[in-house]
Parts: sequence; C-alpha cells; structure tokens
Amino acid sequence: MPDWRYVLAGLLTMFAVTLLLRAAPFVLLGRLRESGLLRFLAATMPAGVMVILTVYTLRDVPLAEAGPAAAGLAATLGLHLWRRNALLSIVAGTAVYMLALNLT
Amino acid sequence: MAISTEAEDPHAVRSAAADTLGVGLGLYPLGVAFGVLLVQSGFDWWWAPVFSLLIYAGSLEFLAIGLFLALTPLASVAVTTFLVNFRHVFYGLSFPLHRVRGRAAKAYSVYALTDEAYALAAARPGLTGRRIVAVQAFCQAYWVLGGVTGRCWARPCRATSAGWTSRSPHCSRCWPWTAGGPPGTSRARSSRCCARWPRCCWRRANCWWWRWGCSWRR
Repeated sequence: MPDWRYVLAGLLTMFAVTLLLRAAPFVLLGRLRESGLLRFLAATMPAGVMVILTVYTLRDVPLAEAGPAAAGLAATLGLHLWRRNALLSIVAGTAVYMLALNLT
Repeated sequence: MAISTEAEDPHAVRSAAADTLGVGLGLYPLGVAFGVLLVQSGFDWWWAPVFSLLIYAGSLEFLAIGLFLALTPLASVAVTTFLVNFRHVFYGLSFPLHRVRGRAAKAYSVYALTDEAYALAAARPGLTGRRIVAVQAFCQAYWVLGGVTGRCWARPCRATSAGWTSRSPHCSRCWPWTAGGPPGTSRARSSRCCARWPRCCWRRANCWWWRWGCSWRR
C-alpha cells in the first residue's frame, strides 16, 4: 500500500471537497431564496439524480445477467407499487435476482 | 403527516432505527464489500473506519482505493471527488436542515448528507430534527461496521455463488487465511495455502480479534 501520509492527504482532500459540495446549497439557499430556477431544481433534481443512479447501476449489467436483473427489477417495482413497503421490495427484489442468477 | 416538535418525539432514536432498517440492509453489505476490497488491496483493516469517517460517501470510497493505489496526484483526487459527488449539491436544496437544532447537529447533518439520508428524509416529510440526525448516525454506523467486519467476511471466498463474491485475483488463488492456522496445528486445514503465505496466514489466524470475530464461521 502507498505511504500513509499520502493516503491521509488524499482522504482529507476528498473530505474537504465532499463537505464543500454538501454545504454549498445551504449557503446558496440563503442568498437565492427567491430564484425560480433554484426552486425548480430543488423539486426535480433529487428524482433526477435517482434516475441517473439507477441507469448508472444498470448500464454495466452484462448481457448474460440481463434476464435475472430484469426479473429482480420487475419484482422490486411490482412489490413496491403493490405494498409500498421499501424493506419488502428491497429484500424480495434482491432474493428474486439472486435466485434467478443462480438457477439460470 | 404533521410536523411534530422535538418535545413530541421522545422516541426519535428508536424510530430512526426502524426508519433505517431498509437502507441498513443495503449499507451494511456494501460496507462489508468495501472492507473486503480494502484489505485485499493491501491496506490494513483499520483504514476502513478511517476512510468511512473522513469521506463517508460510498461510491467515492470504492474509487479512492484505486486512486490511492495508482498514486494519483491530489489535484486529480479533488477533481474526481468533485465530479462524483456533485449530485449532493441538489440534495441540500430540499433537505430539511432547518428542523435540525444546534450547531454541532447541523454540522453533522450536512457532513452525513448521503444519498440514503436524503432519500429517507424525502420519503418521510414529517421527521423531526432529532430523528433526522439519528437516521444519519444509524446509516453511518451500518456503513462503518460493515467496513470493519469486511475482513471477517473476506475469508469464505471459496463458497462462491454467482453475484455474491468479489472477483478479485486473490479469490481465484487461495485466501491465506482459509487455512485457519499455522502449519502443523489442528487449525491448519490447507498446508498449501499456508506454505504460500505463511506470515499472513499465521498472523491473522492467531489474532485474538480474528478468532473472536470469525470463529463462528468455521
């Protein structure tokens, strides 16, 4: 492994940048409370980010695992629309994916 | 759901435990995966909590291992961090930080504003400030605990099932500590393994924390 001082410096760099990004909107909010664009972004971007994360996750699924991934996704979505229980959707969806992956 | 005041929420911590159960099921195994990867990459196990306390952004921590191993310049590290975590800017715009009371609690809430924390706060609009902070603390605890216990779970790579184990080159060889103990003792199972990495195997198998944490898996 690399020198611990370098790793610590790298970690502190990541810490600082991440904290700046997380704190930035609260500083901005005080100044731009009236901005319509900001309110639009606040309302729509969280869902947009979730969509990006989902696409990013599914992007790298190899073709051989596309079937199980689709089955897991369908189970998660279907269960969530039906029962609205996040825990149930996550566990059952993962179980379906693992079963499909190991049985096919 | 009506917004309740702090006084009306005496069970904030207990409620937060229930709130985070679902994401905990995702965070803990991911933390374990991170711990496994870190140990396999040659870092000591205690780097896992150091990483998770200083960065606390899952996807970035996985990237960090590769960046550090490649001795990436700090400026590139900063740029990568900026690009990967830029999404967090949007979370703060609607995160109910105004409900969190106290400077320290506010500071922690901003620091621990992860994807999961935002999703939980957005899904439950009535959460009190204390419960929000408790939710974030629980999420971080799952993640850090996962990272620390990763070294225990690193062992049974031979019990493979598709989609379960990491595909590290180390796994395809033989884990030094699958042997279970130094050669010649009752705990030694595969001398081939021990012969290959005698120091590693012997040391890990004889550490008190290793036995304490992992003996139930034998």
